[in-house]
Amino acid sequence: MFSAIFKMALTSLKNRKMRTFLAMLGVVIGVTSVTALIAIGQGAAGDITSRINSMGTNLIVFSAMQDADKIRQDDIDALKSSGPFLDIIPIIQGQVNAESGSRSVRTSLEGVTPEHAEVRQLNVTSGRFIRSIDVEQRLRVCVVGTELATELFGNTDVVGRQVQIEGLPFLIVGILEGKGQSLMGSQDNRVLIPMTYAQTITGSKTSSTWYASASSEAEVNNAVSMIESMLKKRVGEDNYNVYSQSEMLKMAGDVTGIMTAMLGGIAAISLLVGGIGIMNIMLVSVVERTREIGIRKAIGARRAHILLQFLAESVLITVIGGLVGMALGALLSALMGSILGVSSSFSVGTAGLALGFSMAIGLIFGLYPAAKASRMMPVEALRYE
Amino acid sequence: MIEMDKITKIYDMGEEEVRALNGINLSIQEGEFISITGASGSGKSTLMNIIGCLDKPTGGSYRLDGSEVAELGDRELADIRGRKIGFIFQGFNLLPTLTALENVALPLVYQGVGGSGERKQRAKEALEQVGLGDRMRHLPSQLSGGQQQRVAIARALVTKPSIILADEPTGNLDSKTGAELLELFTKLNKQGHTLILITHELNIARHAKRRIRIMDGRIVSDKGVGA
Repeated sequence: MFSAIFKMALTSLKNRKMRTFLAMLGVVIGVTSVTALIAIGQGAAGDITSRINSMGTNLIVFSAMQDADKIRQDDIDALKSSGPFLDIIPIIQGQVNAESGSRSVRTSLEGVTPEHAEVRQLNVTSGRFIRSIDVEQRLRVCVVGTELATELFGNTDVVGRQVQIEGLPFLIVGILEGKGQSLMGSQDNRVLIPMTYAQTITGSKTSSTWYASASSEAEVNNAVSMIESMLKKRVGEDNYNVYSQSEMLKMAGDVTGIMTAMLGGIAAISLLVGGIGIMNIMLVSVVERTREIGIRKAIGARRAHILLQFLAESVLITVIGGLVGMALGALLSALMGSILGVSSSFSVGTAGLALGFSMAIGLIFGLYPAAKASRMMPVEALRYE
Repeated sequence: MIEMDKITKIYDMGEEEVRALNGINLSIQEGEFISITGASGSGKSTLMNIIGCLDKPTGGSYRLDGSEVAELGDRELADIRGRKIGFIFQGFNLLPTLTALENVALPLVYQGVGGSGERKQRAKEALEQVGLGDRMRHLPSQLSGGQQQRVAIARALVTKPSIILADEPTGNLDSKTGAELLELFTKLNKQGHTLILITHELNIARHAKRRIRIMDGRIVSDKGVGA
């Protein structure tokens, strides 16, 4: 009996193709936008998470917002010798112009020491990293990211060539392993030079940001509290930031979670509008088919049969619309992902959720018209012209 | 099988009330062939709607096969319409998007009759019974009025109901087709079906064994009882 009623619902939709299509369109648009936006949101979250993960689980970043010069090398050395640290390294950053021949590129410069390679998991694919002797002798050597190399030279086979940084010639000694795009921009458009020379170029003598690596994951909390007590003593309460990797992950997760929920929420409104459209059309349909309902009741249809038939129609509209929307959403998220340069993660879970949601919309918005149809008095329905 | 005692039906039309039925006492046995005649507005269609459980009386008692209809719920009434009663309407009332076969099979869907194969077989038999075995795949719009009414009769017969209620069944047909239909009714009655024929045409009512006349919601004559 169920399959027969289902078949009748399908036939009835087929007999009103235009109307069915228009009712379905609202759901298609709604599910498409929900699926695509959530996929983009989750993809962006994945990018950020994997970027933070690639920094290593033992990583702690700390910085002073004021009076960074009050933190002396002695303080850092004291932390290193007394606490559970593998290393603590300062970082100097700035934006510079890199030139080769007539090409000029704005890029980010970082002053590094050999320890950066391990603490920040920076690997070179060809050539070498900055060595101790480069730092001690203040040699003009650099390691460049793949994007910077390509923009300056057209290829990444650039070890041994020269690049002008703020007008000073530097010898390229290595190429960094590509890290790809992230929402915060390319990680491959950068140049690393010896820490000692970075102070000259950026004009800042001291660093305000340090990367520390704890001796083990279990020691991270201990290490954080030691850093905090040092910073409190030097720059005062509320004037510093200390982030461990797990805190950064949590923060990033909170932010991207809110972003995804907002995107999904906005898209869900369009799904709601689609649902109202279905209700509207089903209500019109019930009135139009009053006589049909009367005939069906006269030949023995129970209320439940009529209810089921009209519900089946609205649920069919939303399920078919939902499936089409899911396919379009997957396509759209892939397209948007490649245009915006973020990875989109279309997940079966999201798709299932969207489908379930659209089925629920069909049930909720179909229920009232279907109940109205089922409650019609047979004798009055038969009299309807 | 049908026992009516002081049945009334009052329509509340705002300021005045219309007494469509005003104390009907009627008893119908199995196998009878009855015509109910009366002018338009006499209450005969209201009476048919109440007999067919499409409508409920305002007062009085209506027992169908021993059970008091007023006490039955919506679901039981639907099942009675499906199993015990077959309706034939003046305007045929076929579903325009279904084929003849599908229209005839529809009551079986609501009765919960097994697979679609069994339903189709039974619908086919009913269509053959009314002489339409060769028009099963046609839509109502592709059939003549007489053929549509035969489809409607097949739909009424398919559930093997104990009562067949026909409301002006020849009203939309020419006299020749009407006569053929009456022959079919006579044949069905001989096969044992209880037939109640509602009409305002006296020469059609003549075919019935028992003839009831209604005026102003009351039975004014009842001829041929037990004939």
